[in-house]
Amino acid sequence: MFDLTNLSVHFGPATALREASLTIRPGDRLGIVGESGSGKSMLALCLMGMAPEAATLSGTLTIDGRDMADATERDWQALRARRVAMIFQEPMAALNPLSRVGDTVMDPLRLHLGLSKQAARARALDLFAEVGIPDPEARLRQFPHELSGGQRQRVLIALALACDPDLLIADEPTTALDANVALRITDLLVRLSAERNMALLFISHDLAAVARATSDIAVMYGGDIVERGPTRAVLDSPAHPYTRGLLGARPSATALPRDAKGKRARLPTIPGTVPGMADLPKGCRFAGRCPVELPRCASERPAVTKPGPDRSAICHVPSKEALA
Amino acid sequence: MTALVEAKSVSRHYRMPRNHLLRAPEMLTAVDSASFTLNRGETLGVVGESGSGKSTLARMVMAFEAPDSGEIRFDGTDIHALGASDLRRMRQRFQMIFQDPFGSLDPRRKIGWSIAEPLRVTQSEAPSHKTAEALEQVGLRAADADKYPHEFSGGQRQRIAIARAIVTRPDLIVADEAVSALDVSVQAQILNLLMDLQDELGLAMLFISHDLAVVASICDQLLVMQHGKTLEYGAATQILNAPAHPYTKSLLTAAGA
Repeated sequence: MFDLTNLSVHFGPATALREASLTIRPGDRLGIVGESGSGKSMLALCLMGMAPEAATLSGTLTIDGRDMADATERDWQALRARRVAMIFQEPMAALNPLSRVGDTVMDPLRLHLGLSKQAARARALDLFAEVGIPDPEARLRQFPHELSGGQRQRVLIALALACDPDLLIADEPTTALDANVALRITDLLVRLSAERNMALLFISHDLAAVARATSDIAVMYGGDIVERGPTRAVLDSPAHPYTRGLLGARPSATALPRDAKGKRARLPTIPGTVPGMADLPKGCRFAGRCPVELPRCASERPAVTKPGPDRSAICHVPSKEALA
Repeated sequence: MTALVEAKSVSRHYRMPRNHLLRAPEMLTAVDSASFTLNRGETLGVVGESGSGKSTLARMVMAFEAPDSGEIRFDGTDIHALGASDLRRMRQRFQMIFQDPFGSLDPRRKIGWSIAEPLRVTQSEAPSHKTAEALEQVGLRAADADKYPHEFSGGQRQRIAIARAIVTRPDLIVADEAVSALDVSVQAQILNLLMDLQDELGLAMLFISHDLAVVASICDQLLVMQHGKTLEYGAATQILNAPAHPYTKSLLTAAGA
């Protein structure tokens, strides 16, 4: 359905995305994990045809077999109206504070589907019920500030579902929410994806949320998709040193042990900091911070290795356990 | 030896906006008789969602606001009974780190100036060697004192905020969501830094976060709050291994444990 081949995004000499390839089929639940500056949001913007004006793009994006290279803004608008929808981190910022949430959800129904006011209202009620908003009749008339953070995110999900998209892009949808609410929103997205056979692109820095929400995962670093594969397989035996570092650095809800002298153990860390877009190493992007680095890593881009079924990693020295 | 911080049945209420002209406004109980003891060199983790009262508790420990009932003793002294100048002197001994380091650093001042700020409360001329020492303790260079906040990354700015907190050689650091805005790998670096400083300086920490995974990794004791009430309080390992309250269990699930 969505097929991305060797997509690169440059800003002058700086690289935001390097030869990213992805395929998204109906009902897929793909997670994109990475830290700030890894290119994960840029990837999402490209799928929506919303790459910044200043960016130079290369590579191909085909949607249902159609090459989008020559797509006009009007084509993209039609696509965004009906095929792709997106939800964001901050639900309050995405809702119009002066508009009742019911009107916000009814607008696209009337504009894109040409429904009458009554039909749009009935559909909005169905959508509110589908995303688990209690007492939808009363909620339709409320303003964003009258709702809790979780309810606001549900309203935005209802809005995103309004025109039956084939792909829902969720960019850090749970980051601003409390842990329990985040869990319920994650589960809601999974349920909607299954019930509607809708593809879900779940972008997050939160590995626990991605593990729960997705069946496949792409790990990004410095504009590269460094590792891809089934979520469970990748998280259980990561092939790329960056994935391993990221998993290790994540605290695991257990107290770090203290030694005999009472000194507490430390969290494993990835040394150094993410370089800026213009200062990334030419070869492997992770060179300079990698614990198993070879001399050629900084200059020579690794080929794609296949550490397992449906898996790939860009690394000169992928983990032996993962390859086994 | 007395505990460093002792909170006894501390409560705090806020008046809600008036709903009806002729009715008294409703009261919200932000913190409902919370009690804890924090010893020197130890860490108390406070976990809860937004509105649980965890930040209000922190603000009372910092003496930014006073409890309606109960008392908070710092090294045996009731800090809310102190006069203004005594409190100012006492404040050297407890410092706070916030979530957003960019919001807590003056963008027009060199960071050396910002770091020395707590020292200037009690002395007019802050010695620059103290600033330099604090910078090096958080893994930055003494020469960085002459740079401005925008020249640093988010993780480095949080290190600057920590340098400012330790410059007075406090006994207690209150960290309110101090690593929540940071990327996972940076988060681990900052958590390790806090533990290094704790070992080095014998700091006690009140570590507040909505993220149980983060709190759990660095605390000795744990206090779980919801709607102002203390649901669980005790040794961290015990609560994590055998959570008594369903809410704690659900937080553990959310943390991916």
